[in-house]
Amino acid sequence: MSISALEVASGLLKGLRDYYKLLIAGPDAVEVRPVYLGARLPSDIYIEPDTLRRQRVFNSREHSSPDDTSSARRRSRPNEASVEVRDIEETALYGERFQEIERWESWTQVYARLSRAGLRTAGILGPPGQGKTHLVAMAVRQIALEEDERIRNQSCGMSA
Amino acid sequence: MSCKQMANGSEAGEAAIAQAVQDSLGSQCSPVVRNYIVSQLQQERAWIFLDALDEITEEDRQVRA
Repeated sequence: MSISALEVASGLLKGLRDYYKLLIAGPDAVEVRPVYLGARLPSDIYIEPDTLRRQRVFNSREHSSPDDTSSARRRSRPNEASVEVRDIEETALYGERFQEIERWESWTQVYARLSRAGLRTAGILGPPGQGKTHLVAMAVRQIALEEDERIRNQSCGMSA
Repeated sequence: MSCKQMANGSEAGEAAIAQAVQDSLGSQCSPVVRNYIVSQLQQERAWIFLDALDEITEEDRQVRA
């Protein structure tokens, strides 16, 4: 997206940058910061987590997934029930058409993949207290930082 | 925005998302920015985060149905 004079004149750019600053400061806001952290800021001590990525892929019996080349790092989930206890139908006769694979992936990789994907859809699952909301807040912070930087660079380009 | 905000809205589908974004932005930014963000929701570069799925109650589901 390029910056037009109209966007500058309308106050849109300043408004966007103010909003980004709000998002960037969000995880460190006093009202959400745990007391036990004292003067330390959550964004300073944040360590990006690893995620266990689960994906359903078509079981073609040739390749599990086009982007999955590290077969050593993935493993198939076993069927939850044996053929004998399932209904006799096509799945039972010919096997699962879809296979669920799972592998560990750093959040950095996940974020990079979602950033470049045209259709980004992901569900983050986990028990209460595991940091799902904090992960989202930090992801939002990262997006806001990148967007603020982009606007700042383009604004510098305009004034040059 | 939280799922609760979306569930409590009176709209459905894309309009519900737009309304929830409008509501969640509230006084955080100027109307110019708010309208701009809503206008960009269908763009590829937009990120939409839905949090707190566990706060959706059975009653909320019935309201949406």
